[in-house]
Amino acid sequence: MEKLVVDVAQGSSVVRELTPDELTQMEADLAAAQAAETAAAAKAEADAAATAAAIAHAKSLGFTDAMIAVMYPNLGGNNE
Amino acid sequence: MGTTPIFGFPYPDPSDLVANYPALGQQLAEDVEDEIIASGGLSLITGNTFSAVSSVSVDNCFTSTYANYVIYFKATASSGTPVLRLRLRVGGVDNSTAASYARQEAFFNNTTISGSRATDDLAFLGEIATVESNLIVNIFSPQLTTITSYRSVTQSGRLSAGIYDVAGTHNQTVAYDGFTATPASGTMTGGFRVYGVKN
Repeated sequence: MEKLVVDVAQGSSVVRELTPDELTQMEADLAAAQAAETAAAAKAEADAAATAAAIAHAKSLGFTDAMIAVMYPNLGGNNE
Repeated sequence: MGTTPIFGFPYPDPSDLVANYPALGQQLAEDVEDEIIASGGLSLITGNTFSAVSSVSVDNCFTSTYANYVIYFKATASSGTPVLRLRLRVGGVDNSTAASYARQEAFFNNTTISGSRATDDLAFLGEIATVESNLIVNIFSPQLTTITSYRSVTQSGRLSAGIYDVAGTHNQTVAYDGFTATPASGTMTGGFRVYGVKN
C-alpha cells in the first residue's frame, strides 16, 4: 500500500510504502469501520422492523395509510 | 515614468533608460507582492494530485500565518463508498487519541434526511465513491494550542445530487502543522488544495 506525503516546508512530495506502524493503524481503522458498518446495518434492520410494526399496529386501530402519512411523516410506510 | 491606473505601480516609459532607474525593478516586484498578499481572502498554500494511494499526508501546511484553512478534495474511490477520514498531525505523526474527534453528521438523499453523532479517533469528512466526489473542508485553528474544529460538505459521487454534511471538533489542545486523509477502505485517486484564509 502506498501513500502520498507532501511537505510544504521542504517543497517535496513523495509516494512511498506505508510503514509497519501505518499499516497497523490502517488495519485497526478498517476493522473499526467494518464493525461500525455492521452495527449500522443491524440498526437499520431493527428500525425498519419497528417501523413496520408501528404501521401495522396503527392500521389495526383503523388508521388508513393516508392518515398515517399525515400523522407520522417520518414513518414512510405508505403501502396503499 | 508612468504609473498603473489602479494601484499606481511605477514603470519606465518606452523612452526611459532602465539603467536610470536601478531600484525600480525590485520596488515594482515588492509592490506587486504586497498587493497580492493584501488582497483576496484565500491564499493557496499547497496542492497535489494522487493516484491509487491509501492515504495522503500533508506536513507543514498549517502555520502561524493563518488561523483558519480551507481544504478542497476531489477523490474517486477504488471501490464502494468509503468515508474519507482525517487525522491532524504534527511533526509527521498523526494524532489518533481515542474519542478525541467528535462529529455531527447529516446526510441528504432526495427527501430523506438522516443524522447521527459520534466520537472517534479520527474525523469524518464525507463519503467518496467510484464516481468522483468533491469535498470542501473548513478547518478552524489547527495551528493554535486550542480545540480544532471543522465543517466539511461533500457532494457525494454515489448519488446524482447527494449531500454529506459534517461538523466536528478535536479536543486535544495541540498546535498541528498538517493532516492525513484516508478512505475507510481501498485506495483513492484525485487531488487536493490547501488554502489559508486571510486573518
